[in-house]
Amino acid sequence: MTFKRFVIFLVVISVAFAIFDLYFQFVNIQNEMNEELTNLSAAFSERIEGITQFISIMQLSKNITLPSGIKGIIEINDDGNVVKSYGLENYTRALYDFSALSGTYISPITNVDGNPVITIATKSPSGIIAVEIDPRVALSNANLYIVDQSGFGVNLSSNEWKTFISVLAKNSNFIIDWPYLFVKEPTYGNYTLVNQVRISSIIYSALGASLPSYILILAIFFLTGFLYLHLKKKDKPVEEFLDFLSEIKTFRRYEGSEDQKFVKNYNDLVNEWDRVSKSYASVIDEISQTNTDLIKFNDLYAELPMIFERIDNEESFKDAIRIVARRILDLSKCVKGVGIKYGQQIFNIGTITPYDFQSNTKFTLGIKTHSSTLDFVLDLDKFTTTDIFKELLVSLLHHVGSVVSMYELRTERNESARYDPLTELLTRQEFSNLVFREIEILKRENEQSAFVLVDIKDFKEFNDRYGHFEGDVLMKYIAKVIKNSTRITDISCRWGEDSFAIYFANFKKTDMKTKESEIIGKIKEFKRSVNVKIGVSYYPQDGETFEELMKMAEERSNTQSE
Amino acid sequence: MRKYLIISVIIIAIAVVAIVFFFEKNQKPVVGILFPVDSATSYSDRMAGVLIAIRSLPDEVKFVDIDFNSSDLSTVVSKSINSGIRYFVTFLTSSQASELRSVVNGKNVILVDSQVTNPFVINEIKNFYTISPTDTIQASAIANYIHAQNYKNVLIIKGDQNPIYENYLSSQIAKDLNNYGINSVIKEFDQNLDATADSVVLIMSSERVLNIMPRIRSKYGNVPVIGSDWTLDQTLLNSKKSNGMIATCFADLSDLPQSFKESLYKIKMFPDPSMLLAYNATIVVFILAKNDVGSNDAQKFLDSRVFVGSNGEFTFSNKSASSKVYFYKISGENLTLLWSWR
Repeated sequence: MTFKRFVIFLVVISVAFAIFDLYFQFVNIQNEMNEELTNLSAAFSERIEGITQFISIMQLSKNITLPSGIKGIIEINDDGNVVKSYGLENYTRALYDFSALSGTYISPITNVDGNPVITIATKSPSGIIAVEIDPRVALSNANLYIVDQSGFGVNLSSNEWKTFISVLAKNSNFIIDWPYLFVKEPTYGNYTLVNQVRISSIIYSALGASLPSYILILAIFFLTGFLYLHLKKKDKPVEEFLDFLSEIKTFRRYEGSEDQKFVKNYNDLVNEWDRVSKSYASVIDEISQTNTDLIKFNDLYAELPMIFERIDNEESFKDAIRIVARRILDLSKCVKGVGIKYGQQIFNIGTITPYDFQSNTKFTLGIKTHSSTLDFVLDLDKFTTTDIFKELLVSLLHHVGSVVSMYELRTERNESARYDPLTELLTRQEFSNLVFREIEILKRENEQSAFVLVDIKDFKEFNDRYGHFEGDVLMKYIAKVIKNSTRITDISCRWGEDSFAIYFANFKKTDMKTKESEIIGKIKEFKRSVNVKIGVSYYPQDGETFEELMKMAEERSNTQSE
Repeated sequence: MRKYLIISVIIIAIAVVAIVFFFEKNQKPVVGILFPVDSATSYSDRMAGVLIAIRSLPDEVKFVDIDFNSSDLSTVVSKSINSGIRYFVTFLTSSQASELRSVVNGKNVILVDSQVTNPFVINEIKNFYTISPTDTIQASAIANYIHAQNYKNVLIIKGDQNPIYENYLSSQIAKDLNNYGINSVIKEFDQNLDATADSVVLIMSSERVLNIMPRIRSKYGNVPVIGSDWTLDQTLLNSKKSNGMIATCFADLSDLPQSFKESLYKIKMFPDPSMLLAYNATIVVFILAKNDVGSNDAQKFLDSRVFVGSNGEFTFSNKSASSKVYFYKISGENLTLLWSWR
């Protein structure tokens, strides 16, 4: 039941109770009036009957003192003649006739000198005795009237006369004739007792009698009022919350009182929503960051081959490693320092120091490359570094390792292309390139140089005789002799299948004989018999181009005797 | 809560309007029963007549008791008129009725009386009607009766309580007797009875009759004593002093319905003309009130109707009921109809 319904129920109950109580008080008053009239009627009847009984047995003497309340007395014989009378000289025909007929008679009220008088008559042994009495009695109730059979009445305690014809004409004992209520009660003879009361006074009496009930009802209403105010106060947060809900446009927390459970539940929901939203936002951020990282990683992935592609010497390789370290550092703010150790070389940037390669306090990763090792030490922020970033980073570092391996392989492959794999001397092509540049330098500096061609004669027969393995040993031996007989600035190569070319920079013609002897001498020291020829050409005497000079050297080697 | 409040106000307003409408629609016309409460004369017979009449009537008219003293009649009637009462049953003397002329003339009220017989009083009050024949008719009836009885010297004694009635009726009787060649002397109630008379006419109240009868009997012996209509009431009938007296009345006491007699027996009263006229007056006022007859239409309404009274039908003519005049001899317990005249 809601409070409004409770209040309506209380009002209905209170009004019903008030009406019932008022009705009850009215009934009480009515009963009291009835009882009063009944008692008065009994007293009046008793009085009249007493007088009747008294006079029915009396005989009037000559001298008589009238009892109190009796104004006159008369004795009438059976012939209708007055025998004796005191204060009452005449009698009425009705008195005589009805007394003779029914034994007793009570007359209508007559006005004798302003005082009400009724005559009571009864048969006695000597005839009929009638007395006149004043019907009035001392009463506290000033509203009571004794009314005769014609409707003429007199107040029982005062000298007020009134007619009650319309009241007597009604059958009901309660007659409302505003502003009066008449209550009547038949009494002795044809008389009627009438209580004439102002309705307003009855209402006042009833209200007065109901006052405790009204006070009780009032108290209940006050208590209800207090309860209402209390609940209203309690309801106020609810109303505010409802207002808040009616105006809400975004799902947000209610900042008012959380006394009500549903308000608290609502705020818990909002908190949960906020948490989920933040988590979602965090995931979105993380995804976004990861995307950003991926882009950076992808860029780096794409850039790495290019970084290592341009390397042509050791310094540029170091630069490439430094660039890689810088790029890794720039991948994210969570990377505070990067250290790369390649072989014995250490590259560090940011918070990483060479010492960090010895301690295990940082993130480390060692990668075996094709021909070396690549150790990474990274200072990662433990709060902002995500697992996925780490995984991406590890993958990237491995890729760096792969790229370095590729670089190593490429370098190695390039080296193999320059040198002859059997003799470990430059190839003819590489020798041609180097010497071509040397000739250009000779032209600019105007220096002298010598080109020597060493050719093994009958090398095919040697192989046939001693086997190809022994032929390879011979080739390696001659290459070793040439390496030992040349300066570091000199250039030598395997010129053909069984020939070697040597470029002697700044070498004078006069010194060549000695050099030729030295080389041939050492070759002759081989364990097998070897027949070699040497052809020499000089720059610029024999030509100014490489082709001219090598052609000359070949021709001279062919013409040289053993 | 506001919704409940509005609904409650509407329901209460509808209830109030309905009650007022119902009250207005069902408001019964009110008839005032005007009785003196300080008179030495007993009005019990007239009151009983009214009471029996009201009990016999349907509950379509509201009757209210209006008490007055001899000193405040005009005030009481004026207040009653102001309170909305338009119809009155009255039991006035001609003098009292004359007092009301200024109060009721020009007002939409109707007074129906059972006692006033003076034609001048009846005519000077526009809204005043009487259930009795006028004194002119009564005087003619009494003179005719005396003439018929062949009385030659008539002593007319008039009372001192209702001068308009007493003066007019006594002089009118004397005039009518004179027309018959009968001698008559008019005496005041308290004057010496020194005239020669073979019959006496008393024009006074019953109290005065009982008062003067011993003197008459002492002076004139058993001469016929004829009382006017005012004399005959319960007081007179209840006294042995009225024995042998001839009473004038406007009702036939010998032809009463049994139910009327039984009603009277229950309340231990005997019928008298005043009672019957009071009954008739009540019936007439009831019909006027029930038909909502206004003062301007009252005479026409009354003249056009035949009313059924306590002892038969009667009609109105010239503001008074056109009933016969009866002469009864009071002898002990009985009333003996001697003669009637119209």
